[in-house]
Amino acid sequence: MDEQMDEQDEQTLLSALADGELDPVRKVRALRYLVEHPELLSVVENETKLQATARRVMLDATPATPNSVRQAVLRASFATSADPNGSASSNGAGAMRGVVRRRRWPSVATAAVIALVVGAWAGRAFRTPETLPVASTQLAGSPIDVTLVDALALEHVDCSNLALAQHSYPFPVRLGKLAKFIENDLRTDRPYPEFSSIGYALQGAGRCEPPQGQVVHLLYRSTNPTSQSQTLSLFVEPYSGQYQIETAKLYLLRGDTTQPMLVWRSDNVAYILVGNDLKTIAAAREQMVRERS
Amino acid sequence: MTPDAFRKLALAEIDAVYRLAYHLAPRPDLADDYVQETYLRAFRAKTDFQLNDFGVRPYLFKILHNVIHSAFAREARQPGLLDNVEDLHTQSTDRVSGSVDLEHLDWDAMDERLKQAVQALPLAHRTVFLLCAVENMKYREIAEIVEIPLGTVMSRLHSARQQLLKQLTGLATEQRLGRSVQRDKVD
Repeated sequence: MDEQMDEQDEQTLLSALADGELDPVRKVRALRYLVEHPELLSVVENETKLQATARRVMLDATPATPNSVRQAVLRASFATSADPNGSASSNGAGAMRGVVRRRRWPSVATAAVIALVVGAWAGRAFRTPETLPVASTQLAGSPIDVTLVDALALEHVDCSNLALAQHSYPFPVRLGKLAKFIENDLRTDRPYPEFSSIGYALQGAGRCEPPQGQVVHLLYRSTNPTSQSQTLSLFVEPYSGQYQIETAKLYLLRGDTTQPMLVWRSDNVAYILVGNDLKTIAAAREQMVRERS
Repeated sequence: MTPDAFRKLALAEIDAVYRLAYHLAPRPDLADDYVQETYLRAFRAKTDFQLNDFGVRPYLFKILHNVIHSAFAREARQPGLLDNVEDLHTQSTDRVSGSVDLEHLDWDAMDERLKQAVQALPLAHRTVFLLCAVENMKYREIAEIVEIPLGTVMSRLHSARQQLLKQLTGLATEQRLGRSVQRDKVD
């Protein structure tokens, strides 16, 4: 190597040496060459310093990823997941274009929200100590505004992914006056239900952005090390007749999203549970009912 | 890998993808577009992804590189922007041989100059340099991302560093002169 190397090859190999990219044999030869040519030690030192300094400088010079980009990507992921073919005309492309061109992304859930009043179905899917009124599994108009279904589904996905992506998503427990309200309704000494028995821990909580400013979002993450990407969201909102839902009935909402939702209410509070699968949110709902009783 | 698992892994890399896009894009707003296009292509093609073959971050970087390459190629068809395209492929002939005199350089006081010097690198060299220096990619990964031979990675990297060091040599001289002027004033 040494004899055949022209000047550029020699310095290129020394660069690779500084990067720790040489195999053991070439590394020994490069080091031997360096011993024979100590004046080149400064090349390695300079490149090492340059590498470290450039890393610091360029990291410092990078602004945070804009929220608009983050949201567009999340929406695209959400939309393309609903389109297994991932065709060019998929919602993902629409979502991207929507943001790039500063247009509002069309709802993916509005197309087909089906509200099922859970009755006979409920006995099959999960058991709850609360006796649900038996109703035939029927299609009906959505009991809550489809745009809200859409917004909450997105909120669930976005917050779950942001929390995963950033590891410390700024999602503090900040409920204000609503904390007491929830405590009273849950009949607990904390403003959130405990899901540790089904393997989920509270990740954070906060109010949703307007126009859902009265909705509190509680995000839970699986404590199972092999499924920590699994999350569920509980949305809690003071109830004052804004939805066409009855007490002691449980509603399953399914849009063309992959996230099922369970909706119910007490006299004063409406609850909406969103998760990766129905089994999990059903278990969470059961836990809440058990805890409350 | 399930689509959902891929989606989560890919989303976790958004800051790294944006960082690279930001430093490669001619304008910050274009970085936004590049990132979105990268993810759109990734989500569409996720069924092809094999984690064992290629990690998620290099995979996204590779798509980003292609996105930027395509964007520059489109620009190339516009009159007056040919320089940018040449950036993609030209090897710099502006090499510095031997060691450069950086003995007196204050490495902590050169942030802005170094940033400008990196941004002034030809795109092909900047890409390789950023992937190595900032993103800690291995040569083999860079070769996969940029689709060039390993030897070309090494030579581009070396060339990029030499150009940066040359720029910084001027700064070292200025700093040395500055210090001597200050000493003169004190004396």
